[in-house]
Amino acid sequence: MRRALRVVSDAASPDPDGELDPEAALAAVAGGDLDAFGRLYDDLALLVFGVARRVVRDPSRAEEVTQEVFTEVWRQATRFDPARGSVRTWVLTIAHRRAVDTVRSSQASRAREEHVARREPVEVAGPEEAVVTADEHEGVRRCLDSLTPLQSQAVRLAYYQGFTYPQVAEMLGRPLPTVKTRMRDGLIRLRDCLEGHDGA
Amino acid sequence: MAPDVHGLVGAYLLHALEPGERAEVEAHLAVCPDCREEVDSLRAATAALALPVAEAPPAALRARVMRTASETPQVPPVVAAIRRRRRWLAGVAAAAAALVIGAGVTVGVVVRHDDPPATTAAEVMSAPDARMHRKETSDGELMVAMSHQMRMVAVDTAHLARPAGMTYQVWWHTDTGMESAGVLDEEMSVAVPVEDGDLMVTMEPMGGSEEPSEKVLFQMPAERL
Repeated sequence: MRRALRVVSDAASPDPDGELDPEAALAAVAGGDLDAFGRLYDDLALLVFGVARRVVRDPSRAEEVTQEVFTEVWRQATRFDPARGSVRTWVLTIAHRRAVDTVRSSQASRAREEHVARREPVEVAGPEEAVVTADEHEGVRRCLDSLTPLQSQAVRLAYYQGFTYPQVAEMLGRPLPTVKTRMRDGLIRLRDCLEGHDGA
Repeated sequence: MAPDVHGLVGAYLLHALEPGERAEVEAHLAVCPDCREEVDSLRAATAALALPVAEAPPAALRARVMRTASETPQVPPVVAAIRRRRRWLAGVAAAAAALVIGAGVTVGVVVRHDDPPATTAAEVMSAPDARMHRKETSDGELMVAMSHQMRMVAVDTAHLARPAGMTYQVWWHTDTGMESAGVLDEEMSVAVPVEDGDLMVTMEPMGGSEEPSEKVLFQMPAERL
């Protein structure tokens, strides 16, 4: 036990800038380190709140979702497996899922659906404040723009609006199999494009 | 099922599936390493969609989040929760738990008070030796998975309709009588330790019953699971 704790505290050592990367912070969080949890929050809260705000719209409900997501991250930090992906990806996956569940369970979802269906989808709002490096953010935006119009609409309606793929199919007037295929090949294209930018 | 599930990977990652389909994809992922690899490889790109919409939360939220965390117990590490002779399974279970949590699944936990490890249904279903039983009922499909190595059974009701005010309950019918192993009020799935008897799944009024009072959806002796 003592040995395991030491490993955790080694992993949490600050780098020369005095910052913790999310992986190191999460390793410390898994050992019950609240300070490290605070630093993880500082790193990722803009992204988590951004997703919640985008999907659930209402600011106070977006705050609730953000709080639930970080509580879940705190609770489950011991179960995080670095082999499956980065801490940021893990946290954002929890965040999006929670935001989508919130919006689906809300009674407002029907009105929201009609509202969105009436207007032309779907702009990605400009970031008010970007924590992420400008390069990284620009890369995502550029890669999203590289999708075909149908791929892009299908991915955006599902991710940013929290619609199910049958709802997306109905909105776009396309058959279900087409929409689910576009979601998959859209994400594949997005991944390949982002990996290209990473190398650049 | 496999080709269909492959097609759903994008919708799955975008959280754009209905709950029943999501459970189906997750059950398939548990037994399909190639599918898991594709999902993992696309997860970072999906999460990157958050970057363009980053927005600062109100400053006061930080203190609330910190306070809640300080009052919330952490889930014990899988390694510590598993008995010594099963320690080699920990890696597998941790990987499965991370997959499932990463995917954001509702996690069913053991409800017996005398069994501290909170094994999830997904961990049982993804055990290397898990055997899956699918039972078609008038309310939909019930999934039951047995892992002899873990000595656990997983019951998944995600595909079953839930009439208002009703729930599903898991039972062991042993020599000593009928014993409730769990009520699925809050969760879609649950993992329960194996007993020497018949596993039963019944529909019950919300909150569960002392004795099975409604219809039996599933019954099978443990040795045949």
